[in-house]
Amino acid sequence: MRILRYDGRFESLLTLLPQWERGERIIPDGGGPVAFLGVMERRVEANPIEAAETTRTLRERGGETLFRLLRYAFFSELPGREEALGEFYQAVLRFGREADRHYELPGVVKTVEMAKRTGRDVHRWKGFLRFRLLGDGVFYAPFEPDHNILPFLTAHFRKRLGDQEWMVHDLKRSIAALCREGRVGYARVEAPGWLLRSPSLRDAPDGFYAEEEERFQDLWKGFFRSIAIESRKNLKLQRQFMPKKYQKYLLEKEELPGASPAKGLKRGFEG
Amino acid sequence: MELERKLAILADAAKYDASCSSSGSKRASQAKGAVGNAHASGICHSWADDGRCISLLKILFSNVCVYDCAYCLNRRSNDVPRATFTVDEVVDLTMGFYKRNYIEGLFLSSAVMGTPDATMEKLLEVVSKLRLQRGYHGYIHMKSIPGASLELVRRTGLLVDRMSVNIELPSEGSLKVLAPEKEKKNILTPMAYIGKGIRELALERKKSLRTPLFVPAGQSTQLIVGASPESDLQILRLAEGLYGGYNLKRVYYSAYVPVNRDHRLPVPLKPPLRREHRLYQADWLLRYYGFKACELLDEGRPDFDPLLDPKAHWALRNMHFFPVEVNTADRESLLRVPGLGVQSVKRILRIRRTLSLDFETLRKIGVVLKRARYFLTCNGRMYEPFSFREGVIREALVEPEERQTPTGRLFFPRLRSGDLPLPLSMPKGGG
Repeated sequence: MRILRYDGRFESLLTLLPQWERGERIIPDGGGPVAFLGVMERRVEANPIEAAETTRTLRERGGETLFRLLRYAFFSELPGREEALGEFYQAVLRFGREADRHYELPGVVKTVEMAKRTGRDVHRWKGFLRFRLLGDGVFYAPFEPDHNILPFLTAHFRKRLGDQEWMVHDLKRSIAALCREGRVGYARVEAPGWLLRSPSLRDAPDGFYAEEEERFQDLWKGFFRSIAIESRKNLKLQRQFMPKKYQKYLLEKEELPGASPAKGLKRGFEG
Repeated sequence: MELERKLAILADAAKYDASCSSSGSKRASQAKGAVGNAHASGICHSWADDGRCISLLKILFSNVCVYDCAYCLNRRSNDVPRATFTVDEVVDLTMGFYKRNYIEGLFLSSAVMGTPDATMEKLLEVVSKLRLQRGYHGYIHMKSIPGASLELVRRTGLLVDRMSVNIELPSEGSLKVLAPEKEKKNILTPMAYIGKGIRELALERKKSLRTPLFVPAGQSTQLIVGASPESDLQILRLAEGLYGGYNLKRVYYSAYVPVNRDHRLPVPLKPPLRREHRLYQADWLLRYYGFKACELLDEGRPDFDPLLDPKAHWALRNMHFFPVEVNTADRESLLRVPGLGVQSVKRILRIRRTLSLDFETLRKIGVVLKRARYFLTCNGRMYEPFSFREGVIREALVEPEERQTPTGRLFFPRLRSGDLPLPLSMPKGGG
């Protein structure tokens, strides 16, 4: 067996794709076993010129749509993505813009599926992200996406939020995008422990969130309760659209202060 | 009155309006100080406890009404808490919610305060302030108040994304009985006017991009189902006429929730959710599947079968049409197969140019065969040799009664691989 290793970045993968041959494994740093016995192992480093060349080839042969598909599939971070993308790359060389129709190739099927999952994650978080105004005037949205979608979300909010200063923070991967005057930068940002447990106002230290924040959150929670039709109540359906894992970040699923004193009391006793 | 309290009253008063759509408009903001854009595919931001999606701040400007419509919670003779926003309150709420990504935009309606014109002017003041003073480019859906002057309708249309005039009652007779102060012509005149405006400006825009946008997301309306005696066929014919004749983008159906005791109204135990769901399914068949109302229902059978979805209902009465051969049938025929949706058909047509399709490949490309398998052949082969019998199929297609009505799902935008949202702009040629 032959193995290609790389550092797990997109640019490195683009460098590596043209060198890949069917049957070779591609293992990103930190993924998979450190050493195999009796295998040929080789490391590929990112090469900006070769990566740009691969990008150009992909765009020319497959068009923007298929290049985007490949990017989405890569950032799904699903295991085994590299070999699938290798097969997909070869399919693009062979079939051009029609590569994604070739469902007889398992790598193509898998690439399309991975891209779909990333796309779904992006779309969900476009709706579920909640910005909170910080004491220093930045609109801040922490979240935990399944896939590495921060760059895709950033594009959406940069267009939408104009001159407003904002930060979207992927707590799972400890990366944040900060946008100031319409320009976006990325940085590694570790969140404090309390924030990882809960981003809610009650758990935050004084001054972390702006004063007007509580008022807007309460108005939103109030609206959320008023807009539901009691006689059509259907919590199962609601959960289907808003699975539990998102609820930590959805303010409207937090309780309104004083809404249910009995519950609060009970928690007090337990905690 | 506290803003919290007002919001509670005026959101509560707006909640029976079914429209939640935020799609179909593309509006960008590049100017300095501007905020917001409209996303072509629409985005749901939350789901309420009733499972309906929330994408817009849906409120009435006021619930102080001069009318006394039988079905309406806000009618004059009801003893309910009343409130009226100020223009600035609505503007600040919208901006505050939008910047925090709670909502995709504003859905503004109102009870009739004094006269239709006076009401419409207030609403227009809100959207003018949002668009022209606060640089807001997000989605706005505004109700046109029946009876307001066409000049006000025109000025509104130039600022908002969608307008709607609710018909509410599916026939003139019912309107007379249940909403005697509203007139049919006050509903249909602005509707025709908006439809004409959309058509004309869209044509002009083809010649010059400087032509202003006019209601770019189209107009919609709502029909209450179950408050009056019309059959499904009557309702569906009305919808068909509205799509064809008035250029409507959407007709919403709202299961009647009894909010008033009134001798003119029925007293249902539960809102007719199943019926509402069937009408939505049929509505989709009209708009995207090439069906006509008269194919789905007729005078002999004017209502849908609660146990069968409208497409299955049609298929079982037209067994001579099946089976359909996946590898050669045209788009129209494939769309008539129960279980095949617009997306599946699109995928089938695309992929069969390269591959010959069998049931295994269909499954691989994401076609759900649970229902479709009874109506398809792949290269002449059926899924199961004995399955093409009406009784067997009917048994298999009937939905268990206890299953809940997934009305919300209809509004959920689907993603497909060929239609992914645009990725981040990145350095040319790099990763």
